[in-house]
Amino acid sequence: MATEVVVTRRAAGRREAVADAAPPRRRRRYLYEASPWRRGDFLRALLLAALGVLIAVICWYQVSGHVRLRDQQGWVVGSVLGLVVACLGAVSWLLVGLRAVRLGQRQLLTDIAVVMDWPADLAGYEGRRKAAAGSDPDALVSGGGMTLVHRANCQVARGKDVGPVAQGHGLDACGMCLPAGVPA
Amino acid sequence: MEFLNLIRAQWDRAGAILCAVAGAVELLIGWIGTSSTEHVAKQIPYVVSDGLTGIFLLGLGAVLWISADLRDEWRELRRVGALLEQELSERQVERARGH
Repeated sequence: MATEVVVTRRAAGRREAVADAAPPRRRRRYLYEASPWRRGDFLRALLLAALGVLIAVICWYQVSGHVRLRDQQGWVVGSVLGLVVACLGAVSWLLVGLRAVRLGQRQLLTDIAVVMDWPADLAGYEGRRKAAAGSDPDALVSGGGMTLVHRANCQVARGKDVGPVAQGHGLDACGMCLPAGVPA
Repeated sequence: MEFLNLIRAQWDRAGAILCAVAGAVELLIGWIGTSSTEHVAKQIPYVVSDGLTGIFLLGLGAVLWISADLRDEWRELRRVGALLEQELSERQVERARGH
């Protein structure tokens, strides 16, 4: 409850901007749905798991009905295939849940940043990239550990910790933005 | 009653533990079955039924446990989101009063 009070007091002076940001929050799934999964996700996972188990049971029945290894081999492969199908259901279930939760986390962070009046560029990467670009969008930028050099307005460099690079840097050119004067 | 309430509240984690234990038992039964015969053709049914089922149950247990973690995360998102929603509603009310 202490957090609630802090949020209320610190943001009290920014009511106008936050009130304007309220309508998009209606799309936040986590506010209105009890679970990150929908009925369709459950049915898909259940269907794949049931199909996989069915395949495995049929294959087991066939395997146990043969006495020669050569006749069993195909059915063993089939049962492994059934296991893979069942695993696909489980993987799809987890992927849907992970994506929903991660999306919710990003949305919630954005909402908190609006309420607390935090800068959108928390890491300062965008500020540094724009500073490196200056007035020239064709300025060359790169970052530590990066093997390519980009134009400052390159989509690939967006959101990364990049800075200006000098001539003779020895890096290859980005295949997306093709910076001038740099061999690809 | 305390234990039953815990199971009811944490049904997915309880299911995960159950599946993991069942998977381990299946693998053990499969191992006992395969080690009781020298004929490969007699061992294969144990591999398919007990071995693969054991692996499947262990995987299912892991999925259930991760699902439980995701549900917890979702509940936390709902809780913090509800606080923000309440805050925004209060601001809208205050803004309306100011006009």
